[in-house]
Amino acid sequence: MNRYRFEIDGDNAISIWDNENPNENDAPFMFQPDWPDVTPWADAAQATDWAEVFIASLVDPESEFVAGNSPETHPAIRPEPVEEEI
Amino acid sequence: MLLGILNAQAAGGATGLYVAVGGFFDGSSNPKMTTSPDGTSWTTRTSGFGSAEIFSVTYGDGLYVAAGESGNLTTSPDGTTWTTRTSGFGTTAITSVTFGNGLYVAAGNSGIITTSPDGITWTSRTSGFGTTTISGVTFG
Repeated sequence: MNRYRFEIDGDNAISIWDNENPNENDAPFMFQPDWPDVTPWADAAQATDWAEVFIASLVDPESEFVAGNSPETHPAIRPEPVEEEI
Repeated sequence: MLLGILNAQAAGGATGLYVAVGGFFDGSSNPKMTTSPDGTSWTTRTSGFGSAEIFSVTYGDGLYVAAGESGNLTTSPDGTTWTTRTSGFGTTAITSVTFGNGLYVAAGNSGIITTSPDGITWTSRTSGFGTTTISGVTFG
């Protein structure tokens, strides 16, 4: 079983649990209702991408995750550079 | 090195207990936490930090929150019995915690800042530090 699990609710808010260190009443250790810069999640898929990259950062300090990120700086969301920008 | 000392009663709490934390850079990998009802006699407590150093402690809304090396964070309702929490910092150090206006705030290396209404469930926020270390946070 993976150490961390997450769910996306009907408002696209993310809840993340630590299976190895559960809180009372199964409260999540993270609740992310929007981007850290308070930009609303575009959709559940965007929230899912963020949660997956965030969880990866918890187990890999060298991950690409940027703390307090926004849609412009998040590796899972950041658009690929177009040819003219390379 | 003593890194923090807190008087819960002065902070509006009901426990009337000072909590001191430290152990930083003493080379012993031996985190210290002591409590005192009067500031004169101190009792060593088991903090739940293992060998991780404790950098900061705060109190608010009936809960002490201590934080430190490798994203370690613990909470206690009485300053005596501590529960290890998952902070959302991963292995990144939490350098400072505070409480104000009904919100706990934890800040640390890599510009990470998180907030929590209960000290248990945390939300990541943009600190404005980029990836620069945040060394202190408070509320006034």
